[in-house]
Amino acid sequence: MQIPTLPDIAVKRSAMRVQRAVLQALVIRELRARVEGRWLGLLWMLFEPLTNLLLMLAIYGFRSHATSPDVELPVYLITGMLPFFMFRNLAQRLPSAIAGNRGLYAYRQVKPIDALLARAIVEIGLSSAVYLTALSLLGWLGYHWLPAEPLELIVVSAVLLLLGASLGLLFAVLVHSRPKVQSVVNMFFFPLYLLSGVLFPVHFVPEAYRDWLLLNPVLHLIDLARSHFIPNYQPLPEANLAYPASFMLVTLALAISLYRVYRFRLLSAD
Amino acid sequence: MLQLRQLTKWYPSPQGRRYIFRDLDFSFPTGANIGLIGRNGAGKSTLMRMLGGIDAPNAGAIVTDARISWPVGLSGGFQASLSARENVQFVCRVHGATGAGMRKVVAFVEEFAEIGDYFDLPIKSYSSGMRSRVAFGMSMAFDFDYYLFDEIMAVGDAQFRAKSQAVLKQRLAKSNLILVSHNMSEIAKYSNLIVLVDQGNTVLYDDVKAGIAAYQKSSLAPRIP
Repeated sequence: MQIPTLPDIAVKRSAMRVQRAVLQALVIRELRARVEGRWLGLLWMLFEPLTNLLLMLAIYGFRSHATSPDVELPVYLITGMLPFFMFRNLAQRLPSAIAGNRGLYAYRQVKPIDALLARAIVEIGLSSAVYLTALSLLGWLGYHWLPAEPLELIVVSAVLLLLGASLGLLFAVLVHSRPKVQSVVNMFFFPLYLLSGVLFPVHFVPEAYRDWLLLNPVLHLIDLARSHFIPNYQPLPEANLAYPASFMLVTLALAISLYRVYRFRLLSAD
Repeated sequence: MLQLRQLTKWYPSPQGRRYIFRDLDFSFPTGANIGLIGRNGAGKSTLMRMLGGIDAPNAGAIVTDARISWPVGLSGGFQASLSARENVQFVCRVHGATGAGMRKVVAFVEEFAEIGDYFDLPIKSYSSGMRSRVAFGMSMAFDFDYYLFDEIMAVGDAQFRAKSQAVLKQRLAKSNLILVSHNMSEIAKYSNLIVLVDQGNTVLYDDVKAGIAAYQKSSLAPRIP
């Protein structure tokens, strides 16, 4: 049997080319696993916001005003829910990418952080698709469906996604030797969901408690995202980008440093 | 050129650092197939992992201009939920073989492994023999200066082994082998040199027989840990 003579693949590839090849290969692998094995999971990505939305609409009794007469309730909910789900999915699903790709670290080019990056790319791609689908659905139903200030919305969303990914990396490193802690971490996302102004406005919370709620960077980002989407939306007077952005940078720096320290321990099972 | 320079490797343990290598200087002779032998826990696998770029030394460096394969062994290297085809495609992409190159590699591995329909089923449904057929075929599809093998030759039936040996012989016309094994007849068959790893040290034996004898003597000798 003859060994194959390969076309002259570059003997010395630049680091960038290797990195790109690895990410491409991992993204294709992630997409395959998502689409072929767990198509129910893909469906759930669409259904989760939808069921949440319908439930909330039922609770509010199809009242059309959320915070002010200018804000339509479905628009209010979708512009909060979908960014929050994007953030939460990143923070919750990145850690399992490390164990999920363990067999592939036998190749020197592939490192655990590549697996995390690839999963983040796939997650962001899929949730963006869900977001766009939801927006077109809104448009089809005759609601306000285009962001009022798209560029500002993109910046706020980028900070939110980076915060989710940084937390994902941080959990991945911290939880690696104690996998059961992950379920405890996941429990905190439900209160966070309620406290981030996704379902009901924080504007009505008495000022004494609001200061505490404002420590939550996600609240700032969700409120800002909404204010850039819905014209005439009155964001919280205290909402600003500087606090969540610095929170994100500190988390990211901490996560990357811890990853650097533990990078070889992440290769093995415990 | 393949050199270890002041190589130090330790692992943390509840009793403090467990040193595998301490300031090890060593040059692998060029153009030779190397048999890496030593007792269990001597550091052979750690050395293989470091040569394969998976693990890194705590101090010192591995200096080389050669292309070194991934460690080919009975475990690792596969994503168990994907099929062999998808795994081979993954490895092709990582190594920069796309398009026609990838098709060639996949066709070669498929024909070589002879596992039929299983080639498109998840790796986790394979027997260990089927796994190593794919693993060996995949390593042979790529052109490296050094192939790292961790006891893989002794798999399959007589016909498959004959085929593996023929393919390996073609590769070894231009490349070299670093082989870890506890099977001394395998070591004697494939290597021209012996590197005996013992207590954090490496000793080079030009004579394969002398190396094997030294290993057998060292593994018999009682020792105080």
